[in-house]
Amino acid sequence: MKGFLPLVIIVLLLGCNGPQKKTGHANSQEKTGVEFATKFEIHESELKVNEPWPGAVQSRIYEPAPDHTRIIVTSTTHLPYLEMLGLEDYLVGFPGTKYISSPSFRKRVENGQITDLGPDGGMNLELLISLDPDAVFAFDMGSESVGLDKIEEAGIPVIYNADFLESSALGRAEWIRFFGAYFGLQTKADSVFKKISDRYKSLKELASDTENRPTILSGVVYGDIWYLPGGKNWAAEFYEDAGGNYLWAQNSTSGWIELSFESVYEKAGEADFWIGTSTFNTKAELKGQDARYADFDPFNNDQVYNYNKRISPTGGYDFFESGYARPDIVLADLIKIIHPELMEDYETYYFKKLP
Amino acid sequence: MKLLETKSLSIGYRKGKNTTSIIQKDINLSVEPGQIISLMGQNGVGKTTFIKSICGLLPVLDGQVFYHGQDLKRIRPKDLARQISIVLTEKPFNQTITVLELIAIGRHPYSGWLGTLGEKDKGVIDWAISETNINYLANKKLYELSDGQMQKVMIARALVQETDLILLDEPAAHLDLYNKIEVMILLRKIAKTGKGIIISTHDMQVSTQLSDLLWLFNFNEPVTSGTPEDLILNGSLEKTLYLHNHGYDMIHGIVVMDQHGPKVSVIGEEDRKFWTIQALKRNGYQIDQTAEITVEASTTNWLLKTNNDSMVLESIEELVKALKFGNQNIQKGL
Amino acid sequence: MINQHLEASKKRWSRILLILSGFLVVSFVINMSFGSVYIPIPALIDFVFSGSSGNRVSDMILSNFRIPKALTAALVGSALSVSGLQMQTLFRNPLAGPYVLGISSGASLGVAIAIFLGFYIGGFLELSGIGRSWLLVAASGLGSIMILFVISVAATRVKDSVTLLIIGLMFGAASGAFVSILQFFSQAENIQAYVIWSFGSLGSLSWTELNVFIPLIILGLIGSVLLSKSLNTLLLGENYAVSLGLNLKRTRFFIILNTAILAGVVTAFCGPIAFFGLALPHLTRMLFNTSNHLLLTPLVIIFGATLMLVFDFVAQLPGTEATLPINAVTALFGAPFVIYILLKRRNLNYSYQS
Repeated sequence: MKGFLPLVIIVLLLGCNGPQKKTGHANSQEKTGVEFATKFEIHESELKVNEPWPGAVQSRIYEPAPDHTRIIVTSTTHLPYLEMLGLEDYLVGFPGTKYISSPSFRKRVENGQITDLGPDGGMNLELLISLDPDAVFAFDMGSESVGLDKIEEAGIPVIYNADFLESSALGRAEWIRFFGAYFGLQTKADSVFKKISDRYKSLKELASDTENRPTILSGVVYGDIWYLPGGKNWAAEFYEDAGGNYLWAQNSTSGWIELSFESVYEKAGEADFWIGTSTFNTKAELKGQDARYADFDPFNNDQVYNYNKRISPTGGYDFFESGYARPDIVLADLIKIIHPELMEDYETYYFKKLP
Repeated sequence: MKLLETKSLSIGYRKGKNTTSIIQKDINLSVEPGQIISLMGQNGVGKTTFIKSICGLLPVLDGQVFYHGQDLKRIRPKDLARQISIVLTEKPFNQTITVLELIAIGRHPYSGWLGTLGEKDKGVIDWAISETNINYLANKKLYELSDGQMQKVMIARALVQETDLILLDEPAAHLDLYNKIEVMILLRKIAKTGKGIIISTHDMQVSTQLSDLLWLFNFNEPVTSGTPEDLILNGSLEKTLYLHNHGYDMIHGIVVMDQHGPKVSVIGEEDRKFWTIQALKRNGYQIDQTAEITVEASTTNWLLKTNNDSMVLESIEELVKALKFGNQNIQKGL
Repeated sequence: MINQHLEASKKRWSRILLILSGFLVVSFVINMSFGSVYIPIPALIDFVFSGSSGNRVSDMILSNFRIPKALTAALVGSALSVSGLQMQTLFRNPLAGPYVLGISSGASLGVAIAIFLGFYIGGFLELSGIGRSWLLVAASGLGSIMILFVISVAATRVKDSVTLLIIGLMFGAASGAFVSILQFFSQAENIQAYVIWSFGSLGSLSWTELNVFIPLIILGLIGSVLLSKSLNTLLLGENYAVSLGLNLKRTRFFIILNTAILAGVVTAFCGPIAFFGLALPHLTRMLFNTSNHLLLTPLVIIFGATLMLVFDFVAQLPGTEATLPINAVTALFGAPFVIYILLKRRNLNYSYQS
């Protein structure tokens, strides 16, 4: 999942699952403290992925392999984990390298150290196998399994990452510990994650004291439908943690909700902030798409923000690449937007006001 | 003034950009008001091509076609529709319109932009419907009509086009005798009003009894024109239709069967004699007034006489049986 | 005697058209009154008669959401139905519809290119100050025009209409393949945006777009009324039509142009809305038992608008905040209706006897 609107594909897949099933863990006493994530467990000598793809019942067990030094990942969201662990040189191939934002990986792409495996939808499996990787870290949202099975048949282990199925922001970021454990860098991963989670907690603490909780609207219309994060979605969690009042916080969906334009207008026409406008980078673009966007108060009060501050020269949104691994920065950005008085000297990292 | 005239007309099809396949050439024909003309000829000789060429459905390959002295090429489609109307063998593809709607569509060359009918249009439709005696069909859907009714409706549709010339392709095909006669009488009535009628047909009654002129289309020969009677007597029709030595008596208009049986002579009342001869010929007897076997047809019965015998028979069926199976059988039967 | 028949049928059909128009108005009001947001009836009445319901949000919803959507639905219903009717008559084929010539394929191809190359074109548009909604409209329109151009060139060269139909089909297949290739090399998000476009949408037009949409559709509808007389002659078959003075190639061109305007504009603004244009002419013919285009064209225009308003009302799932894609609703409720009427009539060849 590189790229920008984590739209209906995810919506449909996540939305259908409802509350994600927790697979029972028989030997939980051996488990070494995973705090927030629910989709993976670290045991003495094995790693367990609980729901390798949406709706999967059977978990998958992997053995840590510190000797694996040639790997392939299939999602830009896996890249920051490698980068934070200092394993950039492990990556030998990636599908759709043009969507990579990270400067250090970009450099390696330009130097020819990372091979482009072709488009997202149709990875070139022969090319992949010819790179002779030790392992492939992949995600499967439901349609990728055929290709992944083929890789396994070729004798290359496929490590299913279910980070995108985590419902909490810190749970998702905690997947750095999964990578750390796999490559034998557990201590380093733990300390990186601890810094991130500590900062997140203290920022949340900071924002929790605020009296006023501004109302927040999110998302845009596609076709006739306005797609918004559900009340249990990690985006909603961010808004609440940043001291905002997400207008659909009472909603019980962990995926995305689909509403008609008029019902969003009724509820959020007078919202204080509008955060997350997908591919729209200016207010003029929004108005050009649908003139009725201009009837919203945040539009007229100049309070529309999007996660488009960092876009790579080739069009990749860094927010969707590294944002999942750095929830502390995302939260800091949101607090700066919603309660600027709390973070006067801070400069937002991912978010930008729509001009 | 001639309603239609062709001068050195060549008809056929365009095959490619520069190649043509000419079926008939140098056709010089004309139609006067009030004439009914039948086109006859074998299948594939170009009758339909001719019809389509003179009414603008196919391009004229060479020569000219004149309507009232005006060159077809210079007549706009809309004006041509006021000169010639057609009744084809194909039925309207949509059968759910009513008879009245169909006939109203015939006013297309005259009615307004939105198909609105003026007083004159209504008058013409009224006239065409009563002329063809289809008042009782006006609100029926086309799919409810019989073949005969459909033919009359299509003729009425052609009539409302108010053209001097009407072209009909096989108007008698699929019709029973009753309807065929009705259509023939109707066409004659229309011709009397001064319209010219061209019919393409294989029907001998239509061609020889209804038509004033026949146009005979032959392969590799010029088109012949003449009254049906002249063309029958000089053998042209027989030749055109490839009926020479083919078992058809063109002069009498009957099919000739193999007649090698015994000779029989028939005398008696005119109508009965005619049909008795028909039956005997069909059964292979030769009719010869000098024959030994004689049949005397009276108004009530048939008297069969041979050299040494005679008997009275009640019907032609019995007569034929008696001749076939001999005296004993007949006597047994009696 | 003919005058009597004509008067009687004129009276009857005027009454039918009047009643049907009444239904159209009623369904427009019902469509406008119900949506995800509840607006009380008295407020609605106030809005209709005084221009304000007394509540700023309700006013905004009614004037910027409900009325544009109802207008769009009605015009889309009319446009698709009448162009479907024209195609069915022109090609003498009950399976023909507004998209039979590949108009929606052309539009889809245009939109696919626009979305999948959107990153580059979007930047250009931003510079030129044109809204992004116009990008899809322009792309879809250009795609339709391209197909229209090819088909019209073919229409003046090809003799029989069936050949045109096959050319249209081939274009559909080819552009479908091209779209697949584009999809294959695209990001999931863009594929999604394309898929959403292909669902069709009636509620996404705001007044800016309606200012262009409404005149174009009305132009097309007027065109279709003017073509009714020529379409009637085609009911007899092409030979009879020509013998009645119809310029077949020119008429065919105008019919195709008219359909392309109607179906092309609808697709450009609302996406490809399937099924409706195919089924509604049949439904109208069966319900009103006529094939005369002088009657059928107005009937189809009014009935198409009415039924689309009803379908859109259903798609709103009144009382809930969600909506269904209009494409799903038209086929889901329309198909059983058509089957029911066919079986009830037991007359499958009601209109297309060979």
